[in-house]
Amino acid sequence: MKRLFIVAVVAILVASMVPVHSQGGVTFNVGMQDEPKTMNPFQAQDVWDWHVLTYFYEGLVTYRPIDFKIVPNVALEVPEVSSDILDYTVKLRDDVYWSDGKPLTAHDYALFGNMVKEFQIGRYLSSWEFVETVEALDDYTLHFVLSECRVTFIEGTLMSLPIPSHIWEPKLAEFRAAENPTKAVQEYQPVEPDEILSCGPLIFMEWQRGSYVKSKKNPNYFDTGRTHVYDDGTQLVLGPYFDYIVYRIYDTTDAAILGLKKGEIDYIWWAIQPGYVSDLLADPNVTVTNNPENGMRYMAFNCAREPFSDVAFRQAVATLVDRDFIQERVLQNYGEALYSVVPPGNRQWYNTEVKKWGYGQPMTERVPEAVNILKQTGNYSWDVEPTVEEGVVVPGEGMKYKGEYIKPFVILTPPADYDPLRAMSGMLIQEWLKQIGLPVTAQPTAFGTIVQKAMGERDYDMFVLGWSLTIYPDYLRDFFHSSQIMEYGYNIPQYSNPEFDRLADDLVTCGPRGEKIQAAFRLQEYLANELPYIPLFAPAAVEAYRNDHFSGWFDELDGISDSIVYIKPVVTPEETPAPAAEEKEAEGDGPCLGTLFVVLAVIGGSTVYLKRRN
Amino acid sequence: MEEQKPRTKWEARIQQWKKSWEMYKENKIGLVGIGLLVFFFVFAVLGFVMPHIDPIYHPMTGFDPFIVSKSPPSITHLLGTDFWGRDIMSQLMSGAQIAFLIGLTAAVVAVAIGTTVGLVSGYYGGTTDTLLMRTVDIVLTLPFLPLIIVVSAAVGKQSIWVLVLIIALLSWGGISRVIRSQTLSLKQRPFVEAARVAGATDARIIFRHIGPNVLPLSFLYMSFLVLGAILTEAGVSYLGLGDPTRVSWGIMLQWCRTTGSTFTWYWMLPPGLCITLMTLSFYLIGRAVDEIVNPRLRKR
Amino acid sequence: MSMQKYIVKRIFQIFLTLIIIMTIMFILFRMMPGDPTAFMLDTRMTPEHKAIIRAQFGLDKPIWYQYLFYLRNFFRGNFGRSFYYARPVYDLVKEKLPATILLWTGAYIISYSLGITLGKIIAWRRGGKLEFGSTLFGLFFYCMPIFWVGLIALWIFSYKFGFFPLGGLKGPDVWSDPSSGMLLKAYDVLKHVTLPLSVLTLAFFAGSMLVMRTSMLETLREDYIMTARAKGLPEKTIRDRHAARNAMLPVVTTFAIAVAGSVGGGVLTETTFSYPGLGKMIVDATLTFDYPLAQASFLFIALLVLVANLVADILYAYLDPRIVY
Repeated sequence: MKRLFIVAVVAILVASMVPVHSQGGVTFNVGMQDEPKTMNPFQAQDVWDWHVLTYFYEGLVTYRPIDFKIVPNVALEVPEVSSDILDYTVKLRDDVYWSDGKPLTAHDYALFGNMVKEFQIGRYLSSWEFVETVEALDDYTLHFVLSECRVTFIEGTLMSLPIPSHIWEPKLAEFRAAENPTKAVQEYQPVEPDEILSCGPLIFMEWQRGSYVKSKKNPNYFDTGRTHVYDDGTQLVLGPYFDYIVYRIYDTTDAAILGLKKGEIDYIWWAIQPGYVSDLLADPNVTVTNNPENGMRYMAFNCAREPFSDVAFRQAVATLVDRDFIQERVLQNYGEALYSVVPPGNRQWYNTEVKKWGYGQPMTERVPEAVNILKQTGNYSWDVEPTVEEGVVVPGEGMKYKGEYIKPFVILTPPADYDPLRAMSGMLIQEWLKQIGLPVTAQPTAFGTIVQKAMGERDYDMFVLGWSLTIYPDYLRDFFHSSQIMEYGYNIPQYSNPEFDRLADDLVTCGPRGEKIQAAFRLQEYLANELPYIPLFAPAAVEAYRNDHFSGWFDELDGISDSIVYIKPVVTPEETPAPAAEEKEAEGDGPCLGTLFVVLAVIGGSTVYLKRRN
Repeated sequence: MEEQKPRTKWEARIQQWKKSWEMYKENKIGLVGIGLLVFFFVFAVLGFVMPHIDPIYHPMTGFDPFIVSKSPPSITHLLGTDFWGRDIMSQLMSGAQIAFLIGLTAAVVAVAIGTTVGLVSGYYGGTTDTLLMRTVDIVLTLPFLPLIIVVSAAVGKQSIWVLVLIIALLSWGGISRVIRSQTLSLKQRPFVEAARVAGATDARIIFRHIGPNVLPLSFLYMSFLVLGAILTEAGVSYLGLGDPTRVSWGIMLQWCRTTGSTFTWYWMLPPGLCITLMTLSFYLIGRAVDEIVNPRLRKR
Repeated sequence: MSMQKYIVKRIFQIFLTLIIIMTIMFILFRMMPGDPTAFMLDTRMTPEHKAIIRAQFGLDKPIWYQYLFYLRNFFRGNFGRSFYYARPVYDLVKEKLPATILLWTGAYIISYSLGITLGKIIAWRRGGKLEFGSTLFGLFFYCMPIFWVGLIALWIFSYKFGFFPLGGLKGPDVWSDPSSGMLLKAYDVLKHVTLPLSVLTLAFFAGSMLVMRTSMLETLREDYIMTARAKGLPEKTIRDRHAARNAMLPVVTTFAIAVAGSVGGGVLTETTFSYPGLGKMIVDATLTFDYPLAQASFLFIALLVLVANLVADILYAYLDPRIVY
């Protein structure tokens, strides 16, 4: 027994003395909140999957960073589209290779499209359903025939990824033979580097499930050195400039923040809560960035119910919702009050001129104005009309619509786990609406319940939720077009306006940019006046990175993560290895003490145990 | 028996209590528990008073007009304010109220169910016993979180009462087992036999003869259940499945976490400390009572 | 009733209980609002596409069909595939289980050893300062919310002093280096697991300590202890050999139940320490409506608890001849 203990102690001591060899080269460490679930692009669905996968595939065309201009990528040029042309031929570069040395060809793109169509991969179908056929005319020429030219041809179909056909084609027979072919495709789980090929800037190395993922730089990446020049003179030169990237997993933001401050990671790849900012600003090695997110939080009405179907009612509510207070207090100015359905961060598409109900007014002005809007219709009356006396609002009582008391109604808000800001906004809105005598309660409800009631059963009065959006605002059609009113359709408020529908249909067909932007602006005006949604706020993406390891981060919509392939390691002019060595020492300290602690505990424990036995 | 010596029933009771208190006073650990409990009780009562002094001390809607974000302790806000400028001290007081509410309600319900099931199961034995005990097995293995999610959905909202109900329904299993084994041994005692010979009904034997003998044990377990209920509420609320319309300590910690203020000591430490000390007080009292009531634990 | 007969009867009962639990679980998960497609709210996915996905998950079939299918598969040892991971549930549980067992069994073994030792001592020296101190100290940690104290421990020991890593189980520095040997890897795991283990031990030990104390106090009143004293045996021998051995009985039998029950209950601890265990996976599965994964993991845990109960009962009967069935 005694011997065993001594052996164990010695073993631990010896083990701890073996120095950790670090592989040569620069490593970029990034923190993720959850591990990726799969490396199969047909199955990958959450952001953590794509944080890893996104660097393995290159689309035919792509958005360039910062201004999101569409630029050619593997395609030689961006095709000119127009709504009356349904036949397109795209030429590809011939100098792109997969990480196993095989060339990237038109077959790889065609195979992806054809697999999506054949196996009905739900999440990609919207980019491919209007594509009649896609085929490779030769290794570097792709030919598309469309049934209808939609804008998503460029901003969806041509941005789709290629898959290595020499890996996937041999498996096709097996997939087709399966009982459920779609599932068979999605359940294929590649884990080895020779199954997960890359034609992008990084190459997959290894995945320790539950712990970390590691990729390395693609030395033959075709696009390294590509330079983007912007109007203001900024230049971005594509890297990557590090040799390895390690994705480490921190389940809580707290642990990730500590990891960042300690130097374990260089960047936290998710938006952190603004409460951390003051603490992080105190650390000179950490930089905090604040960018608008391409998303919005909104409150929706059930336009199929009275009185929510009344435009005046919705306008009065919009006037009462103090979005400035939400921005200042609830968001602490990390995020922006929102008046249009398109967030201001999406600069090209955001209409600045929409009507801003109640903008800049205190509650004492908002209440009379809301009452005014309602009274003009002649449908509303009160037992006690809300008034303002000596700068204080006296809430109304017994509010009636068309002679009948308005029945108590409910605002469904997401629970706090989902987003505390939304739950908080819901509570505030309840208080504001009570000012004019509306019998309203905000009710925190599970996310799934809201989705079912709102999207499925349409059984709700009002609710608060949010959307993450795309750059091209085709969602304006999806969210409010009358064809989407059916169950589980996206027109949740059941808003219906034939003029709006016609304009929205225009928005999604191919055509000149300028016209589309005009259409989007008009649509936003309709929405701001008729208010099926009351846009509440556009959240901010607050992020943090270490400035002493890498530099060259740039800001854009949705945060700084696109910078990863552009950032350069920080090199101190005189003594390059100095900071690294210093850090080694600092890090070496910890394990040493940790070992000491463990060893002491083991020795102590065994001594006590042995003493007892004797 | 009691009515013979002292003049009135009440005087006898008071005498009894005094005697118990004398014994309780000997128990240092128990005194610590009582002290803490009294403190939290006063604290909770103060919570009702504060919003009347000034509306900025309302735990939920008391946004201080001059302090717009989190601020360290000051004269107007003794423990500082949270992310939105609301008083942390008032929220702690509200949390104490909720903790009492949840802890006591859940524990009373669970103990009532558990004791009854234990008594019936132990007394009748046979098929009744098997059925009840297998039910206990099921209750003990039911997953807590999905139940919370499903029931909240069925009710249509996340409410504190759903939480209380589920905590109660899932935590009576343990007690019923203990009470059952106690009943098993008690029903062999001569006084039960005597009652049966005298023609007492089963119900009477269970609740009048055996019941009072297991009651101390039930109360002991109740104090442990209070602890469990408060800690569970904290955990569930921290995960975000609690009731955000009521300011409990768990919800406070959840706000603290979801706004990214975990490293703000004056916000993060107090709720956790309150949870610890309040549950501790119940546990200490439970133990002290156990020492007094359980003759086998008395000092030699 | 003989022991064999009792065991056979209990196994049969466990089987029945399991079917009831399976049914309850099935109903619970179907009652939950929303479905897996709710979490794929992609603005570009049309309702028809969602219907396709629902059909792929088998959610378009009638509910009784789904139920029978699920029972049949379970007893064939086919636990289904997770919607979210698109992998067999069996693989996922197998992958997460070792880490979970390492942490929780480890924590229980250490805290029980510590608790039994301390409980023995404080019962022997009743009313001393040690009793007051260790009870108060132990219970103080026993009553703390684990996620809270875990966070504080993380801040102090991993961040301020840097003794331990900030979470996880395998450090990439060691594991991604082909030259590191088994020992180094084992050491790396040990380093990662020490802090959560210590926190759990601190939180648990008071429980077993107090049960041990009570049990010990009761044992000390037994006649054979008197006899031992009368024989003039040394105090220590009486305490350790005679009293503690018997007093340990009820404590040890609760061990199996405690371990089995904790396997799925550790979501908060696991999240705090970014520990890749079962608890977190199960809660995530519940929240994302991943029925197969959540159902199967809960059943697995239920089975574990049921078996542990049986083992505890048998153990108790075996060790204490006074119990008759």
